[in-house]
Amino acid sequence: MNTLNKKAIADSPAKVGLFSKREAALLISSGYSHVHSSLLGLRDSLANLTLSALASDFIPSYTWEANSNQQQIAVHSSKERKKVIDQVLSELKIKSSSSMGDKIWTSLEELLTNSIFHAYQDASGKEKYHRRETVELLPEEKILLGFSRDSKGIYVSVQDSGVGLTFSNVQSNFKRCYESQGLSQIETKDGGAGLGLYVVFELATHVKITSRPNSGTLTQCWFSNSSNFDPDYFSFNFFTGATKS
Amino acid sequence: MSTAKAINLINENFQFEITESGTGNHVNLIGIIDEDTDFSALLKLKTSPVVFNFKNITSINSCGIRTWVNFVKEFPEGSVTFIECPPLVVRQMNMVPSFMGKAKVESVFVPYVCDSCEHEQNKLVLVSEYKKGISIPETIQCEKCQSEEMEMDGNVKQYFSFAK
Repeated sequence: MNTLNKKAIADSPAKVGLFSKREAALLISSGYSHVHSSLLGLRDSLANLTLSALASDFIPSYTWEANSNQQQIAVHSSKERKKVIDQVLSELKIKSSSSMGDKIWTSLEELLTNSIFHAYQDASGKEKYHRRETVELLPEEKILLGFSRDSKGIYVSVQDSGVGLTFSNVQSNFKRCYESQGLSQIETKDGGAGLGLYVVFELATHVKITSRPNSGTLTQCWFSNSSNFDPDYFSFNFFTGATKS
Repeated sequence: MSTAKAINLINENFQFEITESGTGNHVNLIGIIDEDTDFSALLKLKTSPVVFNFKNITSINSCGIRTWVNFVKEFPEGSVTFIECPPLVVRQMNMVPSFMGKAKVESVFVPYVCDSCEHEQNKLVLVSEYKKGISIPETIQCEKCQSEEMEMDGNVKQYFSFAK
C-alpha cells in the first residue's frame, strides 16, 4: 500500500457536493486538496474511492485513468513541445481545430511547459530553466507524456522527475487566478504567467496530481467527450506521497 | 476604401496582416500566440481605431495570454474592436477578463456539435444581439448530415459571461 502524508490529509479533507469550477477552485485555495462535484454527491463512485483512500492511506486509481492501452512519448527538449502535441492529436485521431483538439492541445502545452520550465531547480533552489530559452533536458530529467482514448473521452498525463509540486503552490495559484481581478490575475514576474494549472482545471473533467517531493509530479487528466459533457461533473485530487506501485 | 494588405511574419508560428482604411486599421491575426509572439510592431496602430480579427488564431498559451494582455492595455477606450472570436478566444475572455482590455467585442463564433455524426461547426453571432436578449439557438441544422440535432457545445450564459 502506498503512503500518504497523514497531516496533509487531516489539514485538507475531501469536499463532495455540486459545485461550479470557480466554487471548487475556491475550496481548493482554502485548503481542500480533494474536490468532487457530482449530482450523486457522496454516492458518486469516484468520490467514494477518494474518501476510502484518504481513510486508508493509499493513492487510488480512478476508473478514468488510462489502462494498458496508454501510449507514451518522452519529451527531451522545449522545442519538441508543439511537434509532440501534434503527434499526440494525430495518434488520437483528433483534429486540432475541434473543440476536443483545442482542449487537449492547450492542456498538454500548459502541463509540458510547467514541467520543462518549473519542475527543475539548480543547487541554490532556483528554477533551472528560463521560459525564453531553448531547454535541452538532461537524461535524468526526462518528461513522459501519456495518452489514450476510449468511447467516453480522452486521457492524458505528464510526468516529470523534478522537485514535486506542493499543494501550497496549487492553493496560491488558484487563489490568484480565481479571486484576483484585472491584471493581478496574471503573474508579472519574468517567468510563467501562472495561469497553466488554472487553464487545465477549467478544461478537464477530472484532474489528479500525484506529487513526490524531490522525485517529481505526475499530472493525469481526463476529458469527457463534448457531447456527453456535464459541466457540474468533475473532480480534482492532489496526493502527496509515493506513486502507485 | 481600403489599401493593400501588409503581411508581417513575427515568427514561424504567428503572423498578422493589416488592411488600412479611411476609418482605421483591420488586423487579421494568424497562428499561435505564445511567449515568442511580439506585438510591438502593432503598437503604432494605437493612435487610430483598430479592429482585431481572431478568426485564424489557432492556439493561445498562458504566456501568450500575458503577452496579449500587456499589449492590448496600451490601447485607449473606444479605439479597439474584436471580431470573429473563435471559442478558444472566448474562453480566454471568460477566464482572464483583462484579455479584452478596453475593447468592444463585436462578434464571436458559437460552437455546435452534432449528436448524430459528431460534426462540429461554429456559428457567428453578434454580441449586441445577445445583449439585446435575442436568443442564441440551442440547436441548429448540421451542415454535414442535415440532422436538426446539432447542439451548442456548452452553456449560453457561461459562454457569454464576458459580455456582462
